[in-house]
Amino acid sequence: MIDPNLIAAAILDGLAYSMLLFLIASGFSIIFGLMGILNFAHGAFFMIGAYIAVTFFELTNNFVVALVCAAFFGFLIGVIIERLTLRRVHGNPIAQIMLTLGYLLLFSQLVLIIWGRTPKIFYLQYLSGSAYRTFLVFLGFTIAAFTYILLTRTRMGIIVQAGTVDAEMVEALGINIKRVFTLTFGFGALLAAFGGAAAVPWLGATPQMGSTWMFTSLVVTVVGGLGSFKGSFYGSLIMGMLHGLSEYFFPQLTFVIDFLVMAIVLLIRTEGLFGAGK
Amino acid sequence: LERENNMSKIIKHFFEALTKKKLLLASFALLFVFPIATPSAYYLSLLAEMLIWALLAMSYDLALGYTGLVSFGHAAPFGIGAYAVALFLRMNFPFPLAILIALLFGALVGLVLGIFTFRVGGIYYALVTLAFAEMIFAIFNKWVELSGGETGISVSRPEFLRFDLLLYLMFAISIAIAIVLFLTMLHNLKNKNETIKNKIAYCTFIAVFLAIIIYSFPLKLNILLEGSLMEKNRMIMVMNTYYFIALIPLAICYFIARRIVDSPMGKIFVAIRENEERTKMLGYDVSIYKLTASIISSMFASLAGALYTPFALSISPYSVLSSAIMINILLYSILGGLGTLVGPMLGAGIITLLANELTSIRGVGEYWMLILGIFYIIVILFFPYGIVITWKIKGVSVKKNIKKLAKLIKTSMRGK
Repeated sequence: MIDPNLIAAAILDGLAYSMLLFLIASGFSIIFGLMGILNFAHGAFFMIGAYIAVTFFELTNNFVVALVCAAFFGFLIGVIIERLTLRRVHGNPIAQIMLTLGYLLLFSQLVLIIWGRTPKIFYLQYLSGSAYRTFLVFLGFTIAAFTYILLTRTRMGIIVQAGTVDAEMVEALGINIKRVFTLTFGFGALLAAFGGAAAVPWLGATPQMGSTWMFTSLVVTVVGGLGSFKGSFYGSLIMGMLHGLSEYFFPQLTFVIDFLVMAIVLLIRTEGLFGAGK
Repeated sequence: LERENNMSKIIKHFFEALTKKKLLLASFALLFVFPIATPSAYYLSLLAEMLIWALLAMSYDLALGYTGLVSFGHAAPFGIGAYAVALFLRMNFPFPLAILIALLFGALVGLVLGIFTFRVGGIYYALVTLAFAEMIFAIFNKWVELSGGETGISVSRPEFLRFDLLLYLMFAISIAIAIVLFLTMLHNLKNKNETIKNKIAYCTFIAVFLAIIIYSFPLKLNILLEGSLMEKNRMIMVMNTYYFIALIPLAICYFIARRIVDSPMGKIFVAIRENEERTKMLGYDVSIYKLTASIISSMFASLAGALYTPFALSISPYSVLSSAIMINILLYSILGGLGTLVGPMLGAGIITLLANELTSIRGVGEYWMLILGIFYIIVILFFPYGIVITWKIKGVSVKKNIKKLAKLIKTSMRGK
């Protein structure tokens, strides 16, 4: 028989993992929906957030400061990248993909040079093990609710949603869509960096995490529906739970399962489980 | 006497046919001359590696550049081609047969990748193919008995590379080809109807050829005539032959690909890239053409993989199937220019050369990937359409400038 404690642990792991996935995938999905960019640099933001959190935690020994600093730097890097480079190749999807892939490569190497090859991790005395995972679940749900309110109840959020449907029309209504693009990109980077920082006490920070989390979040958004905020939430729940359960019960399958699910979803329902379709 | 006339006519026609595509011919000629002069096995192997990546980049151009299939799974046919050759060589199959089998497997992968186009398009196709390639990678990575896991599997050099006579024969043939090409260039240079651009190309070729003959051919000949084939010289000869094993398929594939893209079928490929709906409305069965493009492109990629195995001698899932290969292919294509065939090959050559030269410099080597990343971003920002297309767009003014310069020289000469 399967031990019920094991099942509980697997579910908790899965939920906590889903929340981290949500933090990276929601920004990725909003950016794709609004700007049509498949942002491969998003995994790099996650990784940078993790390493910045490590540095600030070592400096101040305060987890909240580390989280805030990671989010702030994530936002800054996102805004700079969008404003200075991505805007120049607007309307050339292949160049956009290549450029963001280039940033993934660049940041992975920068991290290797600055922080070294060995994984970094720090632990919190007051929050560890399953307590930290529970905290992650609460944190994730709070941020999901917060982002949802931001998207549906504020003027900026409404503009972003309208831009997802038809960016040119929004521009025609006299809204500076380019600034919206920049801010949305920065906000996506902020969420990802925040997620990376939150992941450190549980999973640590490694130079490879940029690409691995990138691909997982890609799978999540594709399963949930590219460009849909709700889709990214449900998608991360599904993939996170699958990940947690398979890690406990079928460890040899964890690597294949992501891409298998993605291929099946794409071939059966191209727009994803919660996507609107076009 | 008449017969002699005929002979000279045939030779003349041969030269004329040979020189129709002049710049291209000059560059292939240069490729044939390189190995004569290179006295080091390292550089020969570097050149061969450049050719293999060039073939891979060209194969990708057929899919992405001409048909507009944004496939992120192009590492799969390459890696499967490489593994097919490795596994069948280990079973003591002859090398040509192993290559044929690899092509078959490549066509199979191309079929699967092509069938995906029936269901999904655009960015979703990219993601499905990425998922497919990652799954193949994961399967090979986990199935250690088949792939050797992280350490990979090694193969010995194909049998025929051990015959000394063959090695010498290849060397002699390359010299003969180089001499024929040299004479062709001289012949063309005398032709008054040639454009200035072509003349410059010929002059460059002749200059390089002479420089090579004078400077390094004696060096290499000296090495080769030292007596029996010792280990070091042997390596040079093996690499020499290997270079041709890579160059000849590349040349053949290039001409096949050129014929394909210039044929009516190639025009339909481009039509699909430009406007799929309209092509469908015109009555073409778009899915069949996409499938064909995918299969052809995958077969070329698997050929590149098949040539890579006996060259690298040891392959692992990380070296032939991972997403790093895919990123490299994209980089080659974007640097060179999509939809030009020559562009991606050029990009592959430049980047492989840079990678090898920079990593060998101490102090720079560790930062090589960083430099590559920065280089990558700069290329995309400033040449979003690649070297060849940028040249084609801006080349007009360059050509004019060359003409101006030539005129200036002429008038100043007359003034004297």
